[in-house]
Amino acid sequence: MRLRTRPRRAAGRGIHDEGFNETFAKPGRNSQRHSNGALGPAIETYLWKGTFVLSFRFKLALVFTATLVMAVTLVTWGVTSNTRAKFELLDQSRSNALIDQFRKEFAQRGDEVVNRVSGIAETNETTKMAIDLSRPQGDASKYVYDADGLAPQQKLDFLDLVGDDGSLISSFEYKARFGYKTDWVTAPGVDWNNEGAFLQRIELPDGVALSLTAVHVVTVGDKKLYVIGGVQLGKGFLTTLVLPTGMRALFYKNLQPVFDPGSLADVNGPLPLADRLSSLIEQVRKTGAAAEETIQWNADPASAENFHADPLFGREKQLLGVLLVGSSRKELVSLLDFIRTLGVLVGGAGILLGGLIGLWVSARVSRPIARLATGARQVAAGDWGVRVDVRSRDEVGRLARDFNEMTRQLAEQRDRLVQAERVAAWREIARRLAHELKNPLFPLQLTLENLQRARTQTPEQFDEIFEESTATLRAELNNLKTIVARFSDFSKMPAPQLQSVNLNEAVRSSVRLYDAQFNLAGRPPISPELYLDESLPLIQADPDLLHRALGNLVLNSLDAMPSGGTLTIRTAKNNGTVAVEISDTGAGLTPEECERLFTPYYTTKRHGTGLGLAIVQSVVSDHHGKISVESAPGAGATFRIELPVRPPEAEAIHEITHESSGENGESGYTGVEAKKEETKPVAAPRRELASVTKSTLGLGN
Amino acid sequence: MRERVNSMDPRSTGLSEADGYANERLLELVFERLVRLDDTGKPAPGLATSWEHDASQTHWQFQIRPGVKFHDGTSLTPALVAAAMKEDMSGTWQVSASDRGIAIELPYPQPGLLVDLATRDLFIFHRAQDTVFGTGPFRIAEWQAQKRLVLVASEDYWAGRPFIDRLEISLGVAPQQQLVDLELGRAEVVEVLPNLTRRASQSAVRVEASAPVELYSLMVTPRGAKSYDSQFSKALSLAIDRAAIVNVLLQRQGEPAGSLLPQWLSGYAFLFPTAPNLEQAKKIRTLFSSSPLLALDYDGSDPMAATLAQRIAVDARQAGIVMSVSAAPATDGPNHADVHLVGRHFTAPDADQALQAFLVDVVTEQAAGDHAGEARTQGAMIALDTPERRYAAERDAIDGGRIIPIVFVPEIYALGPSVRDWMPPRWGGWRLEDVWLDAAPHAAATGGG
Amino acid sequence: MNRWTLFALRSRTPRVALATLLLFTFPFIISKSSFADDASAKAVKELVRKLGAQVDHKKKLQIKMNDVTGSMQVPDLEALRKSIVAELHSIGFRVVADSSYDLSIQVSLSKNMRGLLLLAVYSSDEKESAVIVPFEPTDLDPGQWLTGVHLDRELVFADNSPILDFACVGTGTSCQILVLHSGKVSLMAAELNYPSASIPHEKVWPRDMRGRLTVSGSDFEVNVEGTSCLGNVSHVEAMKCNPPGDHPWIFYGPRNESTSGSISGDQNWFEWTPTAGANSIQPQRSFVYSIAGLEVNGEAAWAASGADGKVRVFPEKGSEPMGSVSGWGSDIATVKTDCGAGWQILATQPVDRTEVDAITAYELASGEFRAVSDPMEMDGPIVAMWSGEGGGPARAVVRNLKTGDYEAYFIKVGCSR
Repeated sequence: MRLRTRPRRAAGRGIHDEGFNETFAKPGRNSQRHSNGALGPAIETYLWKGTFVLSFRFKLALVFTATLVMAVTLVTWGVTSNTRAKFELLDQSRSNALIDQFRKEFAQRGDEVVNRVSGIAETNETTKMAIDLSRPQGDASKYVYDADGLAPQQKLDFLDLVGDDGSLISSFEYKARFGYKTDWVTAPGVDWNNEGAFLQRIELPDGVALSLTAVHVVTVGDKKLYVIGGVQLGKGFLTTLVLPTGMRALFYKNLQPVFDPGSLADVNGPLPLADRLSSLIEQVRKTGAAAEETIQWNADPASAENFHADPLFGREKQLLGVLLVGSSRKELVSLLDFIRTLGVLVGGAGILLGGLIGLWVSARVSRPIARLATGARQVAAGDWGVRVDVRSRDEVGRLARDFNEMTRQLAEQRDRLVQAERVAAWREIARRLAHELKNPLFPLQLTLENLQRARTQTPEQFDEIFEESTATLRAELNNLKTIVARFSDFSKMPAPQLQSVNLNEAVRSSVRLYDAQFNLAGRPPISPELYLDESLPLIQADPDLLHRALGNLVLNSLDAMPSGGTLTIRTAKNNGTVAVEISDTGAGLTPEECERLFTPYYTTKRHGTGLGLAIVQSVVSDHHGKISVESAPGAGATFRIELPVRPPEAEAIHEITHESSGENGESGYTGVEAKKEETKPVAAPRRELASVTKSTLGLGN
Repeated sequence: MRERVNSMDPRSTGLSEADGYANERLLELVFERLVRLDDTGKPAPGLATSWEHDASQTHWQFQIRPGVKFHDGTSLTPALVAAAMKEDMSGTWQVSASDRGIAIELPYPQPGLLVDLATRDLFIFHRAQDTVFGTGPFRIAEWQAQKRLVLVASEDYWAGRPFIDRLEISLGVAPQQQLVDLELGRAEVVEVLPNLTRRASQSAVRVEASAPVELYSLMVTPRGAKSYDSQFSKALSLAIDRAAIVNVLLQRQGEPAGSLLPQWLSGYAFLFPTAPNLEQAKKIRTLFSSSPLLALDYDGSDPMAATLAQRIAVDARQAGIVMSVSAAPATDGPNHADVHLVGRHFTAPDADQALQAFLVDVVTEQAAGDHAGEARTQGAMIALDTPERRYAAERDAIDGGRIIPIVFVPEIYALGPSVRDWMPPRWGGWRLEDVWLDAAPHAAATGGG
Repeated sequence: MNRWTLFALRSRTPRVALATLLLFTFPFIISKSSFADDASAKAVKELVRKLGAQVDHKKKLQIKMNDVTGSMQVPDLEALRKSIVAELHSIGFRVVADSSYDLSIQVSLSKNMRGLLLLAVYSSDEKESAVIVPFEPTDLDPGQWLTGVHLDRELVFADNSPILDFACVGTGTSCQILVLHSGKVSLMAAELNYPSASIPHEKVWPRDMRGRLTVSGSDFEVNVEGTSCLGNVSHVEAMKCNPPGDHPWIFYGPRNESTSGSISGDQNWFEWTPTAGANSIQPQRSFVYSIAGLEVNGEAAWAASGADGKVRVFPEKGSEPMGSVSGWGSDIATVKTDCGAGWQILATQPVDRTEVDAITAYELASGEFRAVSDPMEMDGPIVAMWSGEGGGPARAVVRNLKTGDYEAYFIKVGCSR
C-alpha cells in the first residue's frame, strides 16, 4: 500500500513541480475549472507570451453579436436617411407654396397701391394743384403741406408730389426735402400710369424704409404732376401671410450697405439673434439668387430651422428685400430621434440575445474541444491516464478518439522506459558491488592461503607470518566495512533540520575545509575565487546537509582539475531564491556524461563510489531547490544550485525523509525500491539537464 | 392755446420757461404793469401816469394812476405797488413808496428801465387771503392749471370796461384742433402755425399776423477750437436756404434771419446776408477732414421745430455736414446734442432789451440753468444803447459761431367772422380788452363753447 | 395762440369800435422830400462826421446808395447821395465816381419801428464796419413840403364835456359855432348863456354816443342814435325832433349823390348797403362805422370803414370795392383839394381812448391806397370825425389827454408849395 501511495504523492508533487515550467499559468486549477464552468471558456482569456488570447467560444459569440448589431444599424440608417429625404421634399414644397403666396400677396398689394395712388391723383385737390402749377407763375410752395392731407385719405405711408421739373413739391414722409429733385421719376420713356407698383428704397428723416411704390402722372397741358405713393413693406406685410404650423416668414430690408440685423424682422418685430442668418442673407445679397440654409438656434437640435431665402428686386433690379421662409425641423428631429432610439433599443436587445445565443451555440460547438484541451493539459501535466469522453462522430469526435489512443500509447512507452532504467540501475549497482567487494576479497584469500602454508614453518616463522596476515586481514575487513558504511550513508539521508543559514558562510566554511588541498605539494595549485553576494538573505536550510552538498561539489571540482586551475564560486539572489554557482576550469563533460551525472554510483573516478553528486542532488531537492550543470568539453563545468529562501513543505520533506529513513534496515529490494522511488525527485532535473547543450562529467576519466 | 400754463400767479412766473411767453400773455389780461408800450414800442403810461429820473438814471420816480381799483375792490396805492414790486424784484432794486407815487433806486444806470417795467414780469398785484388780484381788464373766474382759464370783464376797469363779458381760454390744444374748433365756431380766435395759414385763409376765417417776433436759431455747443466752431457754423449757415424755409415751410409767414434782430426792430438786419452759398459752404466744409455725425435737437413741444430742424439737416447734408435730428429730452437733463434749434420770442419791442436778452442767452447757453434774472442783470452790463453797438454785438455773436439765425416768425392768429377790433401790438400779443364780438355776422359763433 | 370763446351771455353789445392795427404798417412813410428837412440834414451830417472819425481821410471813397425802405424814388436817392458827398468833401474826403477808389462805402436808408436810419457800411481788412445814424422825420415841420399835400388843423374851441359834433353856421369870420353834445344842441354865442335845445330820449344815452350836425344855410339837422331833429340857428330852442325810431342818416357824395345808413339803438355802426350797379352782383348789407363820399378818377365813390376793420371804397353805383385797406382807424372823412388825386381820405389811427391819435391823408390810385401826407398827431384820441359839406374841411373832435378837454378842430388839406 505504502509503496503504491508514495509514488502517487511523489508523482503528484512531481507534476506540480513540472507545472512550474509549463506554458500554462496554474494549469492544474484551470483545467479543473474549465471542465466544470460552462461560461468559463466564453470569457476565458489567456496570457500567451504576453498577449491576450480570446477563447474560441468568446470569439464565436462576438461574431454573432456583431452581425446582429450591424444589421440593426443598417436598417436604422436606411430608415432615417429615407425619412429625412422625404421631409426635405415636403419642406421644400411647403416653402415654395409660401413664397408663391407671398408673391401673390405682393402683386395684390401692388395693385392696391396703384389704385390708391391714382385715387389721390384724381382728387379735386390734386387736380386743382396740377392746374395751378401748370400756370406760368404757378407757385408750388403753398402746396408743401398738401401731402399731409392726401396721404391719410388713401392710407398711404409715403406720398410725394413732384413737379414737372422733378422738384419735390410736397412729401408726407419727409417734408423737409421739398424743392430737392426727384429725378428718377422724370426719366423719359416710362409710362408711369401703366407701370404698376414696384419696390423702392425710401429716405426718411430718421433712416430709410422699404416701400411698395406706385406713380401716377397728372398731366395739364404740357406740365406734369407726379404723384408718388407707397405703403411701407415689412412686419405689417408679413402678418397677411397664412403660415402653416412650424413655419414662419421673415423679411429683410436690404437698405444698408452691409448686413444689418435690425433690418430683419418677423411678424413679432425685429428678430433676436438675427446675426445667425447673416451668412444666408449675405449669400443672397452677393448672388442675387435664392438660397437656403439650416440654422440651429441653440444646443437643442430640435431648435434647428430651415430657411429659404428669396430675393426681391426694385425697378433698377437692385436687391431691396429678402423674404425668408423658415420651417422648423422640430418634427423631423423628433421623428429621427424616435427612430434612432428604436434602433438603439433593438440593437441593445440584439446584442444581449446574440450574446446569449452565441454563447449557447458556441458552448455546444466548443465543449468537446474544451474537453480535449483539458485532457491535453492533464497529459502535459503528467497525468497519463486521462481519457476524453466525446460521443460526437464529427471531426471533433475523431480527434478525441485519436487523443485517447495517443495518451494510452504514451503511458505504455513511459512504463517501458522506467523498467529499462531500473534494470540499468540494477546492473550498475551489481557491477559496482562486485568491483568494490572484489578488491578486498582477493588479499583476504591470499593471506588465508599464506597462513595455511605457514603451519609448516617453524613456530617462530609461523608467528611472524601469522602476525602479518592478521594485520592484512583486519585492514581488508576495514575496507569492506567502509564500503558498506558508504552505502548505508547514502541510504539514510537525515531529514533536514531547517534553520536560518547564511549561504555565504556555508560556502566559505566548505572552501576552508579544502584549503590544504588547493596548494598540495607535487601538484599544480588551484586558486579559489569567491564572488559572494553579501546581501543574500538568510535561508531556511539544514547547515550540515548544505555543508555536505557544497563540500561534495568543491571536492568534485578539485578532482576535475588535476592539472590545477581556478575554482570560482558565485552566490546571487533572485526573487525568493538564492543561487550558488561553482565552476571549475577542468576538462568539462560530454552531454551523455551530463545525462547520467547525478545517477547514484555513477563515476568516472577510479576510487569514487559515484555517490557524491547524488547526495548533492538529494540535499538540494530536499530543500526544494534545483541543481543543474552547464558544461562543454574542455570548457570546465559549472554547477548551479538554486534554493528557495523558505522551502514550502518542510513537513512533507520531513515525512518523506522519515519514511525513507525508516525503511533503512529493510531488504535491499525495498531499499532499492525506496531509493528508486526517491530518485524520482532526483530524476526530475534530468529533463531540464537534457536541455543543456553540452555536458561532461567534470571528474575526468 | 398750445402751451400748458402752470400758474396764473405773477409771482411764480419765470418768463424764461418755455411757456413763459404764453404765461405772460395770460397774465397781461389780469394784471397790469406800471408802464405800457405804445404801438411804436415807446413806453407809455400804464398804472403809472408819469415818471422822471435823475441824470444818473439810477433814481426813478413814478406817479401812480389815481382811481384804479384791484379786482377785489381795494384801490391801487403807491404802498401796494411798492409791495408788489418788492415781491417781484430780486433784491437788486430798492423800491419805496411815497404818498404820490413810488421811487426806484437802481445799483447802476438803466436807461431801459421803462421798457423793462413794460415788458418784464413786473406786474402790479395785490394779495388778500392767498388770492392774487390784479387791476387788468379781466378778472379770473375759473382757473384749472394747464387746462382752462375763464375770465370775466372787470366792470370798473380804469381804461374802460372791456366789451367781452366772458373769456374762456383752453390750454394745451393741438394746432390742428384749434383750427378745427375755429371752423366749427367753437372758438373765436386761435393760434395758427405757418403751415396751417393756407388752410386757414381758404376757410372763411381772417388771418392776422404780427411782425416777426420769434427767432428760430441754431445754438452751436462748443466743440474743440473756437475757430473750428466759427468756421463750422459759417459752413452750416451758408448751407441753409432760409428763403425756401420761409416761402415753403412757413408759407411766407416770416423772414429769413441773418441777424438776431429783425429789420423792423433793428433797421440794419439787411446788412446780414441770408442767401445760401452752397459752394462756399462746401469749400469751408473741406477744412474739416473728418465728418462727424452732429446731433441736432429741437423742442419737441414745438410743432414747427421738427420740420425746420429736418429741413436744416437736409440742407446741411448738401454741404457735406451730416446731422441726426431728434427731439430734445423733455426733462432739463444734460443735453448732449451738438446743435440746438431754439425758437425764442423777443422779450420786448425794444432793440436794446431784446438783443441783450439774446446775447445773454448765447452767453448762458453753455452755462445752462443760469437763472434768467441774473442773466438779464449780466446783460444789462453790455451797453447796447446805440444801433452801432447793437450791430457790432450782433456781428460778434454771429461771427463767433455760437448762434446761427435761421428765420423770424410772426405770431399768426385766425379770427372768427364775428371778431372785431383785433388789434394787437405789432410785436405780438393780444389786446382782448379792445376786442368785441359782432353777434350779427353769424350767431353761431357766440353760442358755442 | 389761444383757443378762446367769447360769450355774449348778457349780449352787451360794444359801444366802441376800435379799428384793427395792420402789422408791418409804419406810422409814417418816407415822402419824396424827407431829406430836405432838418432832421435828415442833421442825420447826414452826423453820418459823415462819424465816418470822418473812423476812415482815413487820404482814402479815395466810392459812395453807393441803397434804399431799404423802398419808399424813395431814384432822384431822391441821388439827392441824398449828393448831400452826403457834399458833406464828405466839406471835411476833406475825396469821392470818386470811377473805379479808382480805395474804399467803397455803401450808404443805405433803412427804417425800423422807431424811425429811419442812415447806415454807412464799409469793409476794411476783412472786417465790416457800420456807421448807423437813427433819426425820426416825424419832427418835420408841416408846411415845408415841396410838393404833395400837407395837413393842417385849426382849433375851433374846447369844452370839458363830450362833444359829438360841431358846425360853423354862417360864413367867414362871422360864423356861429353850433355844438352837439350828448343830449343837447347849443349855439356858442358871444353872450354867456347861449341858447340850447335838448334832444328827448327814453333810455340813458350810451357812453360812446354818436351824433352829427348837417348844416345848410342857417338850418341844421341833428342825427343821433334813435332820432333826428331839425332846427334853425336863429331859434335853436325851437328845434323839432322826430319820435324815437330808426331814422336813417343821409350821406352826400361829391355831386350831391346821397346814400343812407341806419344806425339802430344799441349799436354804434350803420347798416349800409351799397347801391347796386348796372351789371354788378347784388350788393350785400354791410356794417360800417363811417361813410364818406369822394371822387376816384373823376367818378363818384363811397369810402366806408367797415366794422371788420377794413376801409373799402365802392363806386357810387356798384357793390365791388375798388380798393380796400385795413389798419386805419374807424373814423374817416374825405376832403377835396386842388392837388394830388383831387380827393383825399383822412384816416385816424387805430388807437384807443387812452392814446394820442393822428390823422393821415391817403389817396386811392389803381386799387392801392397810398399815404400822401405824414401823420398829423393830435393831442389825444379822436372821438369823432366827419366830412365837411362839399369836400370842405373835415371836423374832428379830440379828447386832449393832457387837459382832458374835448377840442374841436377843422382838419384842412393843403397842397404843398
